[in-house]
Amino acid sequence: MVRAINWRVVGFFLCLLPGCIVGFVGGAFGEGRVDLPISTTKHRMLSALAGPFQSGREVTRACLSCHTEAAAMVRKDIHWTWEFTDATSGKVYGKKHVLNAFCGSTVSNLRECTSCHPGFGWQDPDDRQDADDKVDCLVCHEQTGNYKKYNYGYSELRYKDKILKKPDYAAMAQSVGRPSRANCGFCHFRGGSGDGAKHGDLDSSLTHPDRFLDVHMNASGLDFGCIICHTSNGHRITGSRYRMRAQDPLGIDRPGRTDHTRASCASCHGNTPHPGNFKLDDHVNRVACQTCHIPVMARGGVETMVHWDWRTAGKKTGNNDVPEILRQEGHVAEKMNFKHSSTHGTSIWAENLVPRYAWFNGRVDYVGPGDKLGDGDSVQLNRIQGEARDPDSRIWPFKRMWAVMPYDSVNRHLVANHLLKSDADDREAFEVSGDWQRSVRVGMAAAGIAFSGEVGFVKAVMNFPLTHMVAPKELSLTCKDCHRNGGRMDGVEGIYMPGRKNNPLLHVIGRGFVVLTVSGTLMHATMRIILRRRRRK
Amino acid sequence: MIKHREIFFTRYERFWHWSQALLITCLIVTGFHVTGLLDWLDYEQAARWHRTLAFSLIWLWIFTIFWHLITGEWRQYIPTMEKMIEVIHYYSRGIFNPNLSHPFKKTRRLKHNPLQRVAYLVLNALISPVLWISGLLFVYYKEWPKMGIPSEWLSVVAGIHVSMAYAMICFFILHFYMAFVSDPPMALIRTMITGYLEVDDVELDLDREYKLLVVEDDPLFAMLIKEWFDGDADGKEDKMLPKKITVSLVENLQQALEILPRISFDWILLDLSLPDSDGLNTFRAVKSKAADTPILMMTDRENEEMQSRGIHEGAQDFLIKHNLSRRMLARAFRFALERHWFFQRR
Repeated sequence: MVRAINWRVVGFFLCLLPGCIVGFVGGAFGEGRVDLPISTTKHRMLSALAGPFQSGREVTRACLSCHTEAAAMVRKDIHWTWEFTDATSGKVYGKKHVLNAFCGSTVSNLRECTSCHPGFGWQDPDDRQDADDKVDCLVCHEQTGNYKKYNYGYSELRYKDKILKKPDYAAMAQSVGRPSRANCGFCHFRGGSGDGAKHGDLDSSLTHPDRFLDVHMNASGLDFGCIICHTSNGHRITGSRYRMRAQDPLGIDRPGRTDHTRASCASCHGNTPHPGNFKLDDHVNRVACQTCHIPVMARGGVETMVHWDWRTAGKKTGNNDVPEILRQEGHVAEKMNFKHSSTHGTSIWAENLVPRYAWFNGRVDYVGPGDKLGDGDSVQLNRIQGEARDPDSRIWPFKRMWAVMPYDSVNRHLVANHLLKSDADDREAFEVSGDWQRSVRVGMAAAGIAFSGEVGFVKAVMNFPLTHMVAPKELSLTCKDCHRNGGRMDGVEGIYMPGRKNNPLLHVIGRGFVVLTVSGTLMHATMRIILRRRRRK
Repeated sequence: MIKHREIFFTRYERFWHWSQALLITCLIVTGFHVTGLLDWLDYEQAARWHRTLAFSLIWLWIFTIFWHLITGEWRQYIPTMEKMIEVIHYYSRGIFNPNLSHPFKKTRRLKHNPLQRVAYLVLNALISPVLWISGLLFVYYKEWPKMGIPSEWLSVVAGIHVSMAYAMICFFILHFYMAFVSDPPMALIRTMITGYLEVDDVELDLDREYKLLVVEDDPLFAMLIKEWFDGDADGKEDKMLPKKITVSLVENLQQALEILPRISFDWILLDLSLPDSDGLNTFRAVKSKAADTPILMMTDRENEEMQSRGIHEGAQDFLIKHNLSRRMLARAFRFALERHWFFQRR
């Protein structure tokens, strides 16, 4: 007897199926969304934010009517000052002072550079310490995603004194919340001339990353915002690259036992993060987590810049020859994307790059405009400090950025170049004049450094430690990526690493003994066979 | 010459030998991966196996050291110079002559020739311990700060480990070769597998001097024994006995117990009825001082119970005095000697 199918029962189980799949998948990954604490205020219900607002500064004043100390706090943070005093050397770094391998220096280019400054109307590098209402709250806190910043940090698009475009300030003010990835990314994803250009591990793909791109920021998983790790107190945001810590011996942070920042893997994972595999934990005192867990950079589909040749700036056509240095570093010519701009020269972009590795103790020394160059044919703009003997050093992954940039060929020092025009009538900026002598003269005058009048070009390199785009564990490096001859650590010296030939002389001697032993026994055996046969006869 | 099969390596020794051979072979292969000389295997797998195998080997050794201690077999590795020159001479020259045989005759008691003793001592006391200690340090690298070892020494420790590994490889090659330096070539391998060694049925060494202790209160009888056996065998018709026998005479148990610890005798001829002791107590007293020496008991009359008890307690034979002839006593001596030699060899 054939029993009729009970479709109701089948249907019931079919309904359960999606739930089972979701449950299974979710359970397998074991990752749940991290919610920030619920705010006790709905900002859209505050009368102070009802608007209408005529300018960003008006919005800030409204914010400050409740958050009385917020602006004063912001103005102490590096985001505002663009200055950082290195405690060990006493040198003053920060965006205001250092050079990078992209556009060079901010000194005479503040009109455009300050579009990433969290303030309004920074016309002059020294005009910043005045009013609290110059602080731009919206760029970090508004959540509509439509906020933009323009020259001098204004939130309105202006031409001369006319305002061409003004945002809906009231809507944005009412949307405020804790900074999201998009807020931070508004500046940090686009540094160095465009999306992904600068860091190699920060680009717009991190606004909504999947698990593959970043296991923590995974928008459909843990969904960490930047501030989950870059914790702050009183608007002082932790985790600056000017003074990093290459290791975190404190381990897991707890109230009362904390270094007041979660901007290290160990802050949550501790220093024995591989249960059941003590050999992996043995790496912790020499290898940064990032080295294995960021196997490839710029892997969100956005390219990063690896080379910028300023020699072709001012020319109609670029130079599409693959630079020798990139060849040496193992870049594949077919994967390089050449871009040329007549005002900015030739840049080379690439994605899915293997990082370079070096010892790093967290200290970085910068070479600024006016600093004398050494005798080498290239200059390290930021010197990564650290060595194998230093217990605070770890092997870190880096993005390397090369540039061929102008320098004072007589005085042999790097220069501040006046690249971008400071107003509509500026004829000295390089993007207008195309004349290096004129633009560098203005830049150096702004920086207050002597300039010989002669401009040459020098190879410069910058190293960016990688710490974002953390891959899921199944995609992290495996032992053999490094533990072999010709592995990833080949340039890293001063450490014994199993799996690569460490002491060639020892192996030559050892092999010599083995060969002697083998040939000795062979000789003995041959003699035995021959002589015994002969004597038997 | 008659040959016989004799158990030479116990089951445990064979297990130890072959499992160790397997472990060391695998350790060499995986070790080459860890040093970066080979890449047939995935590094992680090779390193993991190297560690697991090494720990297995150490465990095996802990058992084996225990085995050596309780069986007393560790004495096999005490170095000696006895016959050293002859053995070196044999391997360097004599071995090429099919008519010469190895100067060292191995027995269950003395398995290794002096050269082997030195080689195994170097392996056991130098190469292996250094390999383990350096290897363990390597594995527990993370604990170095607690032990006060600077982490820069890692390359030194690794260098020592690798050097000793090369020494182990050289030993392994030589050992492998020497395994076939026998006649027939597979004989030693077969012994190592089955445990049995085909040995020449060597006669007793009758050329050396043998010492006989006679414990007898009847001076006439004692003199008779001395007359029968003392001195060189030349001129004596039978070849049953050693060429030279020295007979010592004592009259009572007291004297016997005094002399026994001082002189090592090859036999003891013991009259059970002595002025200061009687019956099996005499035997027991003597046996306690000369456990390894064959004892022949004598009485004046047949006593079946005492005979069987005496044999049961380790006497070689039981003789009735008035039945004795020289021939018979000679046969009893020879038999006792061989029986004792046989048991000793096992």
